[in-house]
Amino acid sequence: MTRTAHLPLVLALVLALVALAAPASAQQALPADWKAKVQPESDDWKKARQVFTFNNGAEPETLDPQIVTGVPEHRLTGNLFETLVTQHPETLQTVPGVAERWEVSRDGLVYTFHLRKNAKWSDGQPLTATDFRDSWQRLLEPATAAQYAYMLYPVKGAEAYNKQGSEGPDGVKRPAVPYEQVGVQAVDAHTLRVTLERPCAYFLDLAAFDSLAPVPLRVIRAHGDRWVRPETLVCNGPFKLGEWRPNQRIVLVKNEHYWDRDFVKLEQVVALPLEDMDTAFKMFQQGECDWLNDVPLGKLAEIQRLPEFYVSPYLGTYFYRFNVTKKPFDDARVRRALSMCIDREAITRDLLRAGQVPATWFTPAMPGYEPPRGLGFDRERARRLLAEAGYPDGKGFPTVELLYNTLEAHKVVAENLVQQWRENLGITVSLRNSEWKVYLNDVQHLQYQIARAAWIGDYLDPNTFLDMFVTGGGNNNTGWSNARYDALIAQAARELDPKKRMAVFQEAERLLIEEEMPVLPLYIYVNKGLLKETVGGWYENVRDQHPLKYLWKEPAE
Amino acid sequence: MSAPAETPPAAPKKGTSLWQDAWRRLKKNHMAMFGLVVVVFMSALAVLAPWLAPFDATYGETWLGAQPPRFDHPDVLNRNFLAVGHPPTHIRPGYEDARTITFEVDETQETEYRVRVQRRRVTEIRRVEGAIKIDRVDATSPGDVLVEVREDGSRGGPVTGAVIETKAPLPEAFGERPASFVMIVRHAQRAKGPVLYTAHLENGVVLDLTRDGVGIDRMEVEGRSVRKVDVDGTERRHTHWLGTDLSGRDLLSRILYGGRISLLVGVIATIVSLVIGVVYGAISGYAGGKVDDLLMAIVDILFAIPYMFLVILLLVNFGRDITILFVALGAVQWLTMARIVRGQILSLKEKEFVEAARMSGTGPAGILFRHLVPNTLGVVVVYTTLTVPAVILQESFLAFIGLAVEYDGQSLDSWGALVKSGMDALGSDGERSWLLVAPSIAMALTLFSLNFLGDGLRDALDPQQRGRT
Amino acid sequence: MGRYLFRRLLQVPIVLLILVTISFFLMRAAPGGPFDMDKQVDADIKRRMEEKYHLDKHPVVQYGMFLRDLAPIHVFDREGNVSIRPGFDLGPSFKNKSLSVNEVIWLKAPVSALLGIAALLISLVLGLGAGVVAGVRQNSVFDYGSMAVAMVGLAVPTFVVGPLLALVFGLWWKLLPVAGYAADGGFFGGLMAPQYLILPAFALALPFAARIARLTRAGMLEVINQDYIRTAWAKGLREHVIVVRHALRGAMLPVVSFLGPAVAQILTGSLVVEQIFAIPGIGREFVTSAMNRDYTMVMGTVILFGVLLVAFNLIVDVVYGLLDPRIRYT
Repeated sequence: MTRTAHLPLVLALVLALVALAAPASAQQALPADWKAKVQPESDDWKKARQVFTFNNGAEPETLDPQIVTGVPEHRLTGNLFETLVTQHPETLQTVPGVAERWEVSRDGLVYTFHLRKNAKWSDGQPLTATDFRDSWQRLLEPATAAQYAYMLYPVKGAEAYNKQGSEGPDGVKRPAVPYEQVGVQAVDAHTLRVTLERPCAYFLDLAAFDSLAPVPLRVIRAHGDRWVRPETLVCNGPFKLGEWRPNQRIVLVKNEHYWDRDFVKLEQVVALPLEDMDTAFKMFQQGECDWLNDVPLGKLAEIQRLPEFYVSPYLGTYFYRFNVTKKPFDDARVRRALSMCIDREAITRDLLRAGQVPATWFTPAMPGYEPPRGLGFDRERARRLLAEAGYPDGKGFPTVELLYNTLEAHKVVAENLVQQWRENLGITVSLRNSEWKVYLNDVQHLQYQIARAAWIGDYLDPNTFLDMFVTGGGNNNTGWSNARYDALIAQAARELDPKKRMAVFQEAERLLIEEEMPVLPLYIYVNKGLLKETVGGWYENVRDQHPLKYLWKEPAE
Repeated sequence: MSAPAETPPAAPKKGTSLWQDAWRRLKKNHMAMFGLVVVVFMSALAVLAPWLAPFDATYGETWLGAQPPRFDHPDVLNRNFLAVGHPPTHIRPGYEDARTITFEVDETQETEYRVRVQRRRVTEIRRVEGAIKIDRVDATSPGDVLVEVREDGSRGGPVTGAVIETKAPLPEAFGERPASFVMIVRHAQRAKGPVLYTAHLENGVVLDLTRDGVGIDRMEVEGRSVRKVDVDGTERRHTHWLGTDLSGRDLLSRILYGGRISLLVGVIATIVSLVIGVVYGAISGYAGGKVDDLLMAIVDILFAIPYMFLVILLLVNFGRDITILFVALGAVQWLTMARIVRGQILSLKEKEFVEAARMSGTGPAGILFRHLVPNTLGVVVVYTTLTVPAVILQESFLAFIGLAVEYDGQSLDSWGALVKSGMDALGSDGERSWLLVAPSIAMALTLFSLNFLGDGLRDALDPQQRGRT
Repeated sequence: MGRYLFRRLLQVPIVLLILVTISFFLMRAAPGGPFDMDKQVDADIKRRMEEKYHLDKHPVVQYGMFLRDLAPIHVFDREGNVSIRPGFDLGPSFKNKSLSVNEVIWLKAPVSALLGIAALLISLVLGLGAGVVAGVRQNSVFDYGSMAVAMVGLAVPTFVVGPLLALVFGLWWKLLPVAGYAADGGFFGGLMAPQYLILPAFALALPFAARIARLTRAGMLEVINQDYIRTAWAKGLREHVIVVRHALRGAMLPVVSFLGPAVAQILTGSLVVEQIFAIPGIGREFVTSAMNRDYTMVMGTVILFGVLLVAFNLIVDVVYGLLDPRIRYT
């Protein structure tokens, strides 16, 4: 899989993303009995030991929900800390969290959350609206240096508060801002009022995000960065931290002070930090592990036949970047030729074998959005394009270098691309693999010609895939700049009619992958893993998100 | 100074007799001679790899995947193009003079499904591509067949007229099955039968082209669907004697090239260490006194640096170039060499022949490099033979931690990297073991042999030094 | 001997300083920093994080600060007031944000040490045993057999031996866990649950055992023909007495000089073995911290390894002197 070190922001929106579009009512109504439907059918589970062990894949850097950025951290913090609202384990719809209900003003600007009176910290202290207000202050505090502080930017004054003291685009230091100017207000102990800068249709989805969870400020003040240790960590989620042995295991135990403790079935959750997937697979076979969220590529043939193996679609694209600032890739014809001569199906079917979707488009299909088909495999046309660009039969084409970060799965794909380019266009591409940080550095500084890349959507909207290629975008990294593309993306941001908006995105994407091709899309990811059949309450979704609150263990047969 | 390993060696006899003596002794040592033969053989294979390799080691016939040794298949490429007026695309020799080429192609459209059966009922059907869940696979249309893909890659007997549906039992036509299992099924909408493409060529260019007798301009067939290929009436198949890897590349060819990389790394890194070590050690030993103390103190200090760490830092800093690897591995190996050579020079420089050379007006450099260094050759040779395998093993360690180097930007792997991917591919029941066994044997055998040869040389060149260093 | 030891001890800080300096600047020179991620971090936030860890300062300044914190005793605090505190402070880890490097080392080094000691014992017992018998019974079946096994230990990488052991003893025969470590963690926890240590210790020991066996055998062959052993035979001493009390002592010399660096290597655990068997030891930090650009952790592991290497080289020299009366230190 990718080594994306970012969080999948679960925004189960979205037909209307921006401004003035429908307020929170865009959410589909949740049936009142939704909770009964995610319960076990019988009481059999009570006979089983409610201990769930899974491989988290890496050692978390910290468990501070405001600081974490990686997926392994998120899998833990999401279960230690509970946000105002949370998401349905299967449909990802908004469901109540700490707030039992909420209201949105008619203009979509004011959210009033009514907190549960029985919400408590894991040390038994009551959890109040002030906790949220102060926690969000810490998130926005420049000194906290929280990467996901921008999640609160829709809130009035939040951006100014977060950016105080830093240099603005004019080179002048921004003035200090008092927190009172930020639109977060604890009306009383159980009422939190949030005022937005402008209407934001997906604010509830943001509110369900980890970074916006309350943190125990008194504990943080007393212990500093070390408050996340088992002795000191205080949280408000369904689980609390029982044990943390670095590089060995992390144990979460059921939080007896959690307001919904009767619903929580697991008593203990063990997270293993195994980086070696072969080791993890062996432990799974030996019964030491209930869930692996990835499987070793080399053993896929065998694993595919295990009943525990699962695959499901995922919101991510595997692609290559061209550095369009240097010859020969400053010519769109060359880029198109290099893409059109690739038989993607051979890669997904014969090499990766896990059901990845070969893609000549960039954005995975999502509700309401069907990406343009892009340029399919056409060897003859590719050769003609290359000839038009001045390299008939690949003659005179310089030897270019392909960069990828060292990982077997990337290597296999890169080698195959090189082979297809040689076979179909007659050009020579040499391989260079780099260790992760060097690779990042080279890609960000455009010190490459062709480079492997991947993008996992932050939310269920084409924007998360397409806006990265605007001129000067922080993750563009291709040197590509196109005024028409920029205009289209800006237009989509303004467009209120969902249908028209999607059409604008389609036009932008057509420009991206049928004409300009600063990127060479290869395939759409799938989630793949192994789950013991004794695990209940686990649902697949495009975000690969499985809250532990809903899980249980069935007795082995 | 601690110089325990540097007890003075026996006075060298006259050069020629020393080497003749050594050779005589070496010949008596069967293991060493065996090692010598293997080393020479492996080196020859490595040097001649481009001519010996039966296949292009970088070309993967992807549709093959990992196939066991002695697997054979029609001689085609991943994609085969024939167009009137153009030469056929084929990078393998043997087509230039062909006059008729026929392809027997199975043009069946196939979709693959993963069917999960639990307690005798189908609980999930998923199209493999895209992992999309579906409710039923209907193969009742005429000509439709369902084929099971078995664990070993072979296909089960075709089932016709069956429907697989979730929440229903598996159709009886699939035979007796366990209560819960997973099967991979291909749904084929079968064409009439194999299609025959025939091309006539002249001077290597396609004159005309037919599909089942009908003339066409161009054809494009995938290697996976070709059942048979005939060139001038003889069937063309080829055999992968050691099987293929997961990308469908010929393992034998890859091992040959792998040896080239591994031995190249071993030898060049050793030469680097040799040059630095000999010069440094010789100067230190010859100068003696304060200079010697200082130089050896530096060596002592460098000995305390975790060398692997240094290699890693060098590779991280200066990129993953094979020359960096040579230098990095060589630069950490020269220390021992410097110590050994210094010890030798220390004892040699008191000898009469040095005095004689000095009397005849030879300068210090001349004495050092014309008279003294050649006399340390024995020890140097021994140590060299033992360094090469050590370096090869270190390179494999680097491959394991993900710092493998690219050989000239091509998709070739060293032995260490081949062994590593063989290990990754090894199934829990020992499936695909050939991917591990073949490169491991090549590597281990070479390392054995170098070690045996090194031991033998040590015994032969300097019987009193046996067991030291 | 005393003077020699003193001189060597004086060298230690110099060695370590050079080591620290080289590693520090090589690491800083490597492209990419600890806070580089594939989704680009906001420049402001990145700058703030760098400020927090003083990465915004010139590397030479950082180097000075690092050395200051590393000093054995701190006399002044950051404000320059006199306050005496223990030093050897390696700073916070960038990766494990809630732990300092010192803590990481304290947590993980004992685990590696336990694994290392187990592996060392195994390799000594196997290596010396096989080596002695092979040496005494030169050219016997046992000689060839044990040397062939030793060759396998030398020529097959640990990353093959380890997973194969796990596969056979863990998955097939179900005798031992395939990976993992005692639930209680730490040195004593590991001691109480030795089943987790058996396979990794063997995998780690094998190449060392092989080297020791070959060195011992060679040493035995050399010693066994020397005068004092012949004398012992002539005195009618029994074979095992001769072998153990006289021959082995001489034959151990090359083994001892090999053991110095080997012990340091074995004690810090092998990266490969720790990764394959999921042992929470310090060996893995060695590479992962460099890959993560966890600068402080890198320095911690380098210093730990350097100290061990220097210490064991020194011990080897001393032991050497005790074993071989011919050697005089000046």
